[in-house]
This record gives sequence, C-alpha cells and structure tokens, in this order.
Amino acid sequence: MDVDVLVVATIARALAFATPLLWAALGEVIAERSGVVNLGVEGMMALGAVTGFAVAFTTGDVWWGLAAAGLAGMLGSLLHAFVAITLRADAYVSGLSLTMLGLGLSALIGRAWVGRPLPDPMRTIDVPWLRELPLLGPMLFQGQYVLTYAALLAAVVAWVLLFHTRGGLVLRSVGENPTAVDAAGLHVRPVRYAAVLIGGLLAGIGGGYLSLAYRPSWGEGMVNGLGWIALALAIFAMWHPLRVVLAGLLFGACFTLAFRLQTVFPPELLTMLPYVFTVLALVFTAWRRGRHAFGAPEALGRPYLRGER
Amino acid sequence: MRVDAPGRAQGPALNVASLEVRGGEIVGIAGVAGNGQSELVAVVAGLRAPSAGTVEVDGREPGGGRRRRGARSQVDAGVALVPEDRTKVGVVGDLSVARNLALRHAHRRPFARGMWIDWQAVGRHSQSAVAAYDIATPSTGTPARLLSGGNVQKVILARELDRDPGVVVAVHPTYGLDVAATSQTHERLLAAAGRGAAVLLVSEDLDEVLSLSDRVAVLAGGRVVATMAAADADPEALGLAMAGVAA
Amino acid sequence: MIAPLRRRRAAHRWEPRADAPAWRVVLVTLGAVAVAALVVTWVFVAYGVAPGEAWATIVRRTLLEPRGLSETVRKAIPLLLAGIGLLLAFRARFWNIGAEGQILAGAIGATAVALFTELPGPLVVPAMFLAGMLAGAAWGAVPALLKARMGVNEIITTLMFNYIALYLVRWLINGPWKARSATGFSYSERFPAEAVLPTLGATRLHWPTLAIALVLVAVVALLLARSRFGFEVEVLGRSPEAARYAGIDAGRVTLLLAALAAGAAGLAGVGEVAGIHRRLVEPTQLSLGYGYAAILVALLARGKALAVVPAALFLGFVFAAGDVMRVSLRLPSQLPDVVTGLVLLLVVASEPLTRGRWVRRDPTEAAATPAAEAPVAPPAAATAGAPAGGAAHASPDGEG
Repeated sequence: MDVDVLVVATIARALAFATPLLWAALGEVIAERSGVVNLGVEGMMALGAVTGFAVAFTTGDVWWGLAAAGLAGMLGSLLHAFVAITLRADAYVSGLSLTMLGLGLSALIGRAWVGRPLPDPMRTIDVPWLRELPLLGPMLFQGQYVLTYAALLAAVVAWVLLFHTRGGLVLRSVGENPTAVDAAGLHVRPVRYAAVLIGGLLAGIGGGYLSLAYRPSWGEGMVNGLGWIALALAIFAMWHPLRVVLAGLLFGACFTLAFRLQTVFPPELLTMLPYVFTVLALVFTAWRRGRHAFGAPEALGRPYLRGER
Repeated sequence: MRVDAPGRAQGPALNVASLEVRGGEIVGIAGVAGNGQSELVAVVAGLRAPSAGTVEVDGREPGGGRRRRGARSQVDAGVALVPEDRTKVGVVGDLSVARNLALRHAHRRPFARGMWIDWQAVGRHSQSAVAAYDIATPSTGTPARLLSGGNVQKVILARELDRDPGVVVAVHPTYGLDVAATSQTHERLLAAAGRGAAVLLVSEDLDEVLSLSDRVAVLAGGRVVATMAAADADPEALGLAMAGVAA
Repeated sequence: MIAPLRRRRAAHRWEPRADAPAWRVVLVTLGAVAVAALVVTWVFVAYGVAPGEAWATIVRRTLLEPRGLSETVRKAIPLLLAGIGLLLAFRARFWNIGAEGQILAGAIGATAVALFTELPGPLVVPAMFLAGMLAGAAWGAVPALLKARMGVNEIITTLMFNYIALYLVRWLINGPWKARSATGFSYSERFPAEAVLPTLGATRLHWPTLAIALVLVAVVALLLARSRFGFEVEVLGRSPEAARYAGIDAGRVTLLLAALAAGAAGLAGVGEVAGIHRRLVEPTQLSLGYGYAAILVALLARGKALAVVPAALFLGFVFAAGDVMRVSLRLPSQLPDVVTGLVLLLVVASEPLTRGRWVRRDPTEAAATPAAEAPVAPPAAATAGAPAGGAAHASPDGEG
C-alpha cells in the first residue's frame, strides 16, 4: 500500500476511534481538576450508550438520542457526586460502584434492543471546502462524524474555560486547595458538583457516540473498557484538555495501526492491544516525570470537610 | 554523630559541609525555614538517603550504608526523631496510644517475638510509659487522634526518648504547645542530653534554640554558614548569619 | 461559569467518633442490604412476578434445598479466596481491582498443569493449585511492581490486566489449546480424571478449594492480628507518612500484599476450572464476575478477615439467587450485577454513618441561621467521614 494512503487512512480511522475516548477523558479531566476522581466513567458511558440508543430507536431521531445519552451520563454522575461529595464517602469505591451499577443497569435496560440496528444512525459529513485539501482533506475532513469535530471543539472550550476564566480558576483552586477556596468565602461543594456533572455529561455523550454513530447498535460489551482507557488518558495527558486531544489521537493511531496487523496476528491478541498499550502509556508517563505527579490536582480524591486540614 | 557533605538532594539543596554533634551536647539549628532544615532532618533520621556523603552515628553508618532500609536502620542505630508534624507523621491517629508507643520499635524486643508481636508486652510498656511521661489519656486503648496536641507530643517523647537513644533529632518540638507542656518538653530534651545523647534541635523559636543549646549552627541556602557557642551567640549576629551575611 | 455563592451556616455539625461500635456497623450494612432487597422486590413487581412467591422460591432454592445450598456455598468459594486477598490489599490501600484477571491467570496456570504435564496422579492437584497461585500472583505482581517502583496508578493497570487476561484465555481456547472436538463454542480439552477436584456427593461443591479458602482466611486473620507484618500493613494503610517514619518499607509491603492477594485469586481460578468446568472455557463463563464481586466482599468485611466468610456467603447467595431468577422466574440474567452494584453503592454511601454523627449546633450558634435555610438532610443521609482512600488514584506519590 502506498505510504501516503496508509497514513491518511490511519489518521482518519484514529480520529473516529478516539472520539469517545476524547469525550470521556475531557469529562474526567474537568471532574478531576475539581478534586473529585470518578472511576464510574465506564458505567456512565454504558448508560449513555444504552439510553441514547433506546431514545433514538424510539423517536427515530439520533439527536434526541444524543441528548438522552448525555443526560443519562449526567444522572449517573449525580449519584457519584452525592455519595462522594455530600456524603464524603470514599470516591474510589463510589466510582467503582457506579461502574458496576451502570454496566448492570445498561445490560438490563438494553435487553430489548440487543442485536437490532439503528434504522437511522448518525451520518458522516464532509466539511465543505476543507475536504478538497490535498492529504489533509481525506485525513481530517471527509467521512467523519460531527461528534468528532465537536469533541475537538469541546477540548478547546474546556481549555479556555479552565485556564482563562474566573470560573475555571475557582474550579482548579477547589481541586488544589479547597481550604483556601473556602476561606475566600466561596463554596467548595457546588463547584465540585458542577464539575462532576459536566464530566458525566461528556462521558454520556462519548457513550452515545458509540451506539448512535460508531457502531449504531447496542450490545452488552459495547464500552468494553473504553471508560477505563479514558481514565488513563486523563492521566497520560496530565489533566490538560489540549493534551487530551494529542494523547487521544496518539492512542487512536496506535490502535488503528495495530489493527492493520490483522493478517499476522490472531484477532484475540489484537483486541488485547489497546489495553496493553494503555498500561505502557501509564508506565511511560510515570517514567517521564519520576515519582512526583506534577499536574495532578493536589486535593484529588480527598473529600472536603471544613475544619480539617 | 556527624553528617558529612550530604550533597545535593532534591528540592532545596542541602550541602552541609560537615556537622558534628557530640554525646551530651545539644546543637541548635537556626535558620529561616526552607534553608535545608527538613532535608537535614530527613537525611539524619534516614527518611531520605543523601545523594552523596554519609551520616555516621558513633563512627558507623546506620545500616552499614544500605539505603533501602530507610528509617529502620536509624532506629536500630539509636537515632530518635521527634518529627515536625506530630499528628500526621508522629503518630497514627486511628491507632491506640499503646500501639503508637510501640510504633517504631515493633520489630524489636520486647515487642517482637520472631514474626509475631507480643501485644501483652506492648500493653505493659504503654502502662508504664503513660505513667512515666504523665500522658493524659482515658486509657491506653484510646485512639491517638483524640488526645490533645500536648499529650500527643508526650506520646512521641515517651516513645523516642525512653530507650536512651544515642542521637535525638527534635523538630519544632514545642510548636503550638502550652506553657506547661513546653517546659516539660524542654526538660525531657535536656535530660536526654544529660544521659549522653547527641541532640539536634531544629526550631524557629530563636529563644528556645539559644536557651537549650550548647552550640548553634546556622543553616542558610542549605549550608552550615556559621557555628558558634550558644553563650557567644546573640540574636543579632545569628540574624545576620541566617540572612546569609558573613559574620 | 460558577457563580460564587454566599455561605450559610449549617444547623448541624459533624462530630467524628472514636470508633464505630460493631453493632452500628452491622446495622448499617444490614440496612444497605435491606434497601437492595426492596429494589429487587420492586423489580419483581415491574416484571409481573408475585414478590412473596418469588422470594419464597429464591430462599427455598438457594438456602433450604440441599442442592440449592450447595450452589450458594460453591459460588462463595471464589469470592472467599479473591475477597480475603482484596481485603489484605485494601488494608494497605493498594486498590487492586484486578482479581478477575488474576482468577483467569490462575485458571490458565492450572490448565497448563492439567493438560500438559506428566505428573504422577496424586501430585497433579497440588501442582495445579501451586501453578494457579503462582500465575495469579505473577499477574498481580506486575501492577504492584509498577506502583511500588514507579508510582503507576494501580487501579487502571490492574483493570487493564483483567482485559488482557480475558483475551489471553480467549486466544488460548481458540488457538493453541483449542479442543479438537470444539465446534461453535470454544474450550480446551477435558481435564484428565486426576486433575479434577472431588465434590461433595452429587453437588458441584468442590470441597478441597473450600478448605483451602477457609484455612487462608484463618491465616490472614492471624497474620493481621498478631504478626509484625500485620502491624506494618495496618500502619501503612492508615498513614503512609507515619509508616515511612516508622521505617516500614512501603514498596516491599505493597508488593508482598499484592502478590498474596493475587495468589489467592489465582487459587479461586484453579477451583473454577478443576472443580466446576473441568476444562478451560470462555472467560465470562469461567468467572461470572467473581473478581469484581470480591471487591464488595472485601468492603463488606470492613477490614475484618473473619467477616469475609459471611460476606462471601451473602454474595454467593446473590449469585445463586440470580440463577434462580433466570431459570425459575424467567427474570433477566443481569439482575445480580445490578444488585451487586447497588449494594456496593449503598455500602459505600453508608460507610461514613459508622464513623460519626451529626449533632445539632448550640442554639445560640444556630440562631444566626433561619431554620428554613438549614440543609435539608436527615441524619441518616447527610454524613461525613474521615478522608479515605486518598493514596490510591492520584496523590502526589501514587500516580502514573
């Protein structure tokens, strides 16, 4: 195969593959920047995927489905927010139970829709004018879903909001030093709630992308660890929205390239590769920055209780 | 005890040329926070390995210079540490007073019996320590976090000083304590020196340093910039040395 | 983005407790289970099954009939083994959620011995347990090593290792270890008779694994309560800073614990292949999510080794009840997953309840607050606990 064509096709596929990861990882970056770990990404994506599919199937409109997907993810995250922020229970276990509950519930809800294709799935688009560009056109601007571009846009918006607005400053401060924020007369908990809910919304949309666009159908193993990979991506990108995009594309490119080895490797071993790659990416991140996790919000994973250090 | 050129560690570099504390002597460390005090303490107490240089107790390196053993080598070599952060480092808040009194010594007699711990020995020891160090606690089974700051410090002093250590490192030992607890702590440190311990006192309270110490070493920029007998040291000269102005 | 709000004074303040009395812990846990039972009852109604009759059927077929009871107990075996391991790991705040993969690794180890070695008959089963334990331990030691040496987040790596193990088993039974007779479904050759565990009568209760599990629980209980190692684990779990000060080698303890935990899960995998399936089968049939449910077992036991036994039996009941619901009541097979997730959530949410309580503020203090503005939170719901679990995901030294 011509090298140019290979590169173009790989990047185009990588974008499509990375899209759900981008949505979910962006959401997690926002939540974790406020100091709340949410290990429920996998569950929220599953809830988003099944709800989105059910609504799109029933109404015949993928956009209603997408809205429902985001809402479902958000509802899931609300559960986590209540347990981890209001009740100040262990955020790790709370997120984990959200994943288990979300996977179980989605399988239960989705029983009626297993194996039924979506009659009117999300369509791919070609970007006018830009699609004509040599190389870049077929690479980035042909046959992608709107949600892919929206994810890139969301990353930029998240970056602007987090790093260039007062609200973003407050959110990051809550993640770094909630005591100081509290002392400044601002509420810690509403900020954390908002961040976690946005995280849930984005994870739900990521799930919706899977069941409405990428593979317009529903099945129990649909998310299959993508939520966990998104968590790893947030770390790999060191909690920075723009780096999430770069890291997501890198992940996507690696997975896509690996799948080109299909003729050489048995399919089971190929399916294993994203998970192996995720571990390697985490090891690489740790190796590059030594034992000190700079970039990690200082108060990450710690519930805030006034009067406590 | 002597520390030789521990070299550049991470963070604020510590580059002590050489610091020696003799048995029975209290050497105070004066200096503005962030000039290498915590690095010095970490290296002496074995919490951090120096990137170069050595710490010697009685002419020997604790643990024979094996760095992976961490603070345990120092404990075995008789280096006591009264840490800066009483409640988070000095004790385990959720554990009972009795267990906290055995904290750094659970791997040795009389608490350890092979791979097991003799909890009765721990209990007996805690009873006598609570009495000897006048620790106000409802019982030896009370979690340490329910004790007042002064009593937590007494638990730490009881654990660290009761075994006649050869070296005592005390960091801000009276910070936040009331008058009675402060004077009691001072007496304990003086008594330890009286029994022959080499005491390294790190404190931001210059009066405390001057009144307890035999000698004062000034740390600035990670170096010992001056050493003087406490009797000769006046706050003004110390202040200048601390600011890095050559005396 | 977020409007700063003015702070109001709460009418209640949080009063931490010295320690949670045992009865309170038990009561709160039972409360969580009861809520889950209510939800299940509601599901019965929603699916048009008479709740009273449904519960009676479940109780009869999982607890009262000997065959049903044996199913409950045999499902508790892998939960016991994986659960006691996770309890150890969690005590030192090593968030191993890779028990599922470690079970599979153990199964692979046992299958390798059963199918591809020529050992004398009586040695086969011990060799299988040993191989399974080592395979599980190795599978768990890699993330632990990465965590201890480089600070790589163990939550994600152990989870990734679950998927890797899953596809490894799938590859084995579809490729190199595929049985000649296998068409459609994939599985390995059947184990020879000497590699199959004895069961109790006509049931599927493979008692040798159960015996190993119970002994292991007792050993762990003893180690935690009386050994130096147990004390080190306790200190490390409660305060990593104090552990360093106490001269405890956190890396060594973590590695040892993780390997022990994973080894125990590996033993569970041996029991499943050698006691139930008698061949290596599709991973989702081999372990029905025992590795994930074991997380709940460990958390339900709240750090007490012996409490793993009732916790594992309870979850064994949930799994067995799931079978009854599916087969006898024709309810969806996903219900046990939902129940497990729900109980986990409720247990986590109620955990702070055992550690303190809300008390009314002094009236003079509270007078500044109009009563209507007080947070509407019944004492049962609005609670807080000491910060927990801060060391695992992304604390400055625990991240990768």
